[in-house]
Amino acid sequence: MDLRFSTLSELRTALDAGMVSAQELAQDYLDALEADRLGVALALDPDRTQEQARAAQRRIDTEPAEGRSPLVGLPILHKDVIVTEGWPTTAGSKILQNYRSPFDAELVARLAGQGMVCLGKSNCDEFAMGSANLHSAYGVCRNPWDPTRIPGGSSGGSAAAVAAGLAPAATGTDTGGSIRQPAAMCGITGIKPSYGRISRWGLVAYASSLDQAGPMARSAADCAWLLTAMAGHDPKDSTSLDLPQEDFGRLLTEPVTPAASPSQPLKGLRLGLPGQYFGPGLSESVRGAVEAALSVLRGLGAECLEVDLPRTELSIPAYYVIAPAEASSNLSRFDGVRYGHRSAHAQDLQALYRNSRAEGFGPEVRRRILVGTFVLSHGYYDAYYLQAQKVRRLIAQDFQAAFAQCDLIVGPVSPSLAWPIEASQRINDPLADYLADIYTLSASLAGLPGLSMPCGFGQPHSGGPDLPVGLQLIGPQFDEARLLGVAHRFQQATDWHRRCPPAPGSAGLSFTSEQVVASPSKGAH
Amino acid sequence: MAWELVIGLETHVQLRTASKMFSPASTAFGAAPNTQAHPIDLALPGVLPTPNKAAIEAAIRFGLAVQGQIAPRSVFARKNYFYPDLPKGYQISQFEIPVVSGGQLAIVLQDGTQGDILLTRAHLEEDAGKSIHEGLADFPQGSSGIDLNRAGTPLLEIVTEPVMRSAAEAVAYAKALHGLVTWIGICDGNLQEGSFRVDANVSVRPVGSQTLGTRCEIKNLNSFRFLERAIQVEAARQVELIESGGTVRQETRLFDPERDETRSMRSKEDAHDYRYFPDPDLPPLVITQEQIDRVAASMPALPGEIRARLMADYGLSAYDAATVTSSQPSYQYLAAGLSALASLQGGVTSDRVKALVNWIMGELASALNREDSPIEASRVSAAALVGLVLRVEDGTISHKIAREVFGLLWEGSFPTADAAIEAKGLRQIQDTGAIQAFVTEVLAANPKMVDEYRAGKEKALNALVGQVMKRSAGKANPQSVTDLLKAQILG
Amino acid sequence: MDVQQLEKLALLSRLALTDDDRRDLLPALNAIVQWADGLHQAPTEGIAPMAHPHDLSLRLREDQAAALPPRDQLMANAPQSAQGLFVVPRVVE
Repeated sequence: MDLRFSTLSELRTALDAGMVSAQELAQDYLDALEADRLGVALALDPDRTQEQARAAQRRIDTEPAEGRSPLVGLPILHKDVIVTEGWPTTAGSKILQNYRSPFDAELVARLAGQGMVCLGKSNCDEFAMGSANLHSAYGVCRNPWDPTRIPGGSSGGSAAAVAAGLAPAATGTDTGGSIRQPAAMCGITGIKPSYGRISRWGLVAYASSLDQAGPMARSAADCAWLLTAMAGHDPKDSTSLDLPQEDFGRLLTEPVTPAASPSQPLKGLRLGLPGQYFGPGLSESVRGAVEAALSVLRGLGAECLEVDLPRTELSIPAYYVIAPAEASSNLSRFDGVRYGHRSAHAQDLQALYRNSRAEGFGPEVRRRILVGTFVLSHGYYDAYYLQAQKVRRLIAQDFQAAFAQCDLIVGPVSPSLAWPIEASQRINDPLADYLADIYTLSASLAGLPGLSMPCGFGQPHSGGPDLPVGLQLIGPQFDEARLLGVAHRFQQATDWHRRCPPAPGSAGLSFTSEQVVASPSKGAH
Repeated sequence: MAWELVIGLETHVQLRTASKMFSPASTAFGAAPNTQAHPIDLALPGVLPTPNKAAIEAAIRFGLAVQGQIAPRSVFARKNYFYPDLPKGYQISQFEIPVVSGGQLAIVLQDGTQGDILLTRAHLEEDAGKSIHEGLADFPQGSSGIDLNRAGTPLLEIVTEPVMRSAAEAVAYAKALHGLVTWIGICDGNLQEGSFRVDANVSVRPVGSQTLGTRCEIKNLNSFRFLERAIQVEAARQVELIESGGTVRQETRLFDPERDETRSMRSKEDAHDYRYFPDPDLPPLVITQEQIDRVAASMPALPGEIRARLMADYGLSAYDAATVTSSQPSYQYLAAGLSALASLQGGVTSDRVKALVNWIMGELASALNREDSPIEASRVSAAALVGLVLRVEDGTISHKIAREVFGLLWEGSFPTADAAIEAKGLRQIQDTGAIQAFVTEVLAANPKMVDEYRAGKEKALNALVGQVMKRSAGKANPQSVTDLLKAQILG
Repeated sequence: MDVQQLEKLALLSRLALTDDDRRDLLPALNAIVQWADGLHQAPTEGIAPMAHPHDLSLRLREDQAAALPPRDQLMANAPQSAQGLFVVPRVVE
């Protein structure tokens, strides 16, 4: 019985029914990860995973199901910019090769506390800087739908793993789109919550005012379970919100709108479509799938109207000033003194710094550190950094104005389908990569929640298999429950999220995973 | 060419808190290396700072004590530079918007001159760790060892306007500031342990000039003596440099007490571009009036108020009042003395208070200094000292004998002045008959001196007085001796 | 931006540069900076910079010293340590 393409809710049923044990389940995924050729995992420790699985199975056997966390015994992969005590953390960088954190990230501790079983660490762009997972120091990661193409980034390993049935769920981080975009390119569901929702304690910092961790899984319902467990105030993170505990899955069962009916569950929902997200830069293959998805949403009762986000294009330079600036400072601690790579060419202190850092950091990271140092330096601070922060406020105000007219903003995640790995490696044009972030950066700058869910496929120009397309939902601050509720209704009316890529070495046919295990209450999950 | 010295001081005050500014590690001094370094202090990947409430309250306390403005909203900023004792590669400090601005501190010089030193600002920041170069047996050659115990300790950096014009003023300010921060309990004042460190910004300019000369910063002066000397030496260096045709380079320097000179710090070369920006890990610090009022309610009476009272009630000079209120223990000693006086006949009078203060600033201070002891460890209690003062006042002993009695009290031979006087028979001889007997003996034994005095030599009289004092074992009343000698010689 | 400025940035950020770096980085950095110049088009008169995407004010931590994990554990990743200290090439004041 192959459970590897099941959702977390389906696995829950299987575990509770005794159809499979936590150890067997973990082993299935571990075996698949060992055999993986997509470059998804950076660290595996089967003994440690099985130790957690054994403990989880004990809980399943002894604790009454009532009141037990729904996550007990469910496996998960953690992105390698999230520190774990039991597995090394590299952040995709040579500078942290073999680094062992003496503590777990807060989100790791919370998920482990709820009985989740860690499968290992997933591949990512170095220090989360990238949109293609081409900047990992430990090798590229490949898209399971077409291994000659990128999975997206920076949470490429997490997205590819979930899409390829190598893990039922994974954590990612999103600073400018790094959960949403790989989720879209790999055909899975992912959500970047409002800034401050999930504690950043234990996230290797990239851009402190933008970084947010989030769940990546096979359904909105699964994401809701994970978000509920991960979110909540952490006094160790001064930027973490102190709001009442929330069940982010409540709108999966409760009505999303006051006028909702069984056939029209989104009746009265106003969806804003920014003209700027549907301009000439959007490829036809993506546009087709997105517009089909909008039809589905209208069919469910939602209405679409155009909204204006005038600073969409400016979000790119604003982000690529602010993020590198914060990163340049956050990465200064990697100096070869207390941990991490120390150069052999360390004849004096300055040489130790210069060489350890130049040897340990890849080209994209070095580029961003230099840009960041530049925009913060004397004489340029006002013109660049401060100016970018002002544009940031304008962008936030644009969203506020748009949300006066609509409930959620909807659009594409990426202007194009996943592009070929080899082409990217040939052409060294960092700016081209930056432009691809155009639809995701603004929500990060404004700190708003953004969700990506699979909404169809597109045919790439250069031939090859059809590739997934993601639909983005952006909500006002703290509106994650509604994003998930809307996504869930879409997933009840479609089956894009059930599609699976061809098995490696198969005839190249993708398939739809059957619901192997019937869930008890179909409405909920 | 007449030169004017311009000095501004920046003082780093380590705040007396249980935990660090942004981490819950202990701040206790003297622990084994790196045993008080939390992952936050080590700047491990994934850590985040959390600000210490007590440190912020200490800053508010200071702002109130100097009548500065407490910012309703202030910002923590990152100061970026690379140094092994700075684990994050940046220090969390405050830049554009500090927690306290303005304020002033009154100083009094020894000659009685008074002034108010204006403060620019006071802001919160974290201390760096330590690099150790010497005293490490079997340590890798050509290396330094980094200890991060101190990294993250809360500091209040207090900056003055460049308004001081002499090393004496600078030292008076530093002492007054030291007294104040220990008085209000925000700092333990331990100079040797580095709780109070002064950087001096020194420049010179021709008298009458309105523009400031190029200044040099002399860092990490942790004694008042070194502060004074460093300023003098640096001012002289700058004057000599300019007078011989050179120009002063703006740089950071260290004072070398062995060689009595300042020298340039090589490591702080070029690029002082700290690239300050608001720390994205820390939202703005908001301080409400309610919080300020709560801190104000818990403040002790300030030295300034007490000084004013002492001057008004007992006529103490500004300098003396400042000295006895330079620390809480010092004032408590005086207060105990006043309390003892109040219960005695005659009570508290200006003369008695002044006399007591003179003893505190004189003999007591000398004895404490000799043993490097604080006043709380004084071996002569305030009550005992009052007893001594009264015996001088009523003529039981002379001032000279009193100093001997003080010595006996200090070494613990007797619990009170009266006990010492009784046991050692130190009463001043007032009986004219007895003194007359000594006078007669001495005159008979020294006819030459008698003649010299008659011939007009005043010194001869002093010698004769000395002789009588010797014969009386110092106990004769000196005034009576003089009168009786004169009477007998001159008839 | 010219090579001198690049060298200064490399010094400030403690990154050794190879000749290849100088050749490759300069055009890329200049392109990004030029792009960033576009930010001046925006109508930012009277707009306050946004350092945080939400309106929190700082929460204060109670002043209590906490116990720490053993030093060996916290220093386990040190490239070089001796006698409980991190070892670096001689720091000259």
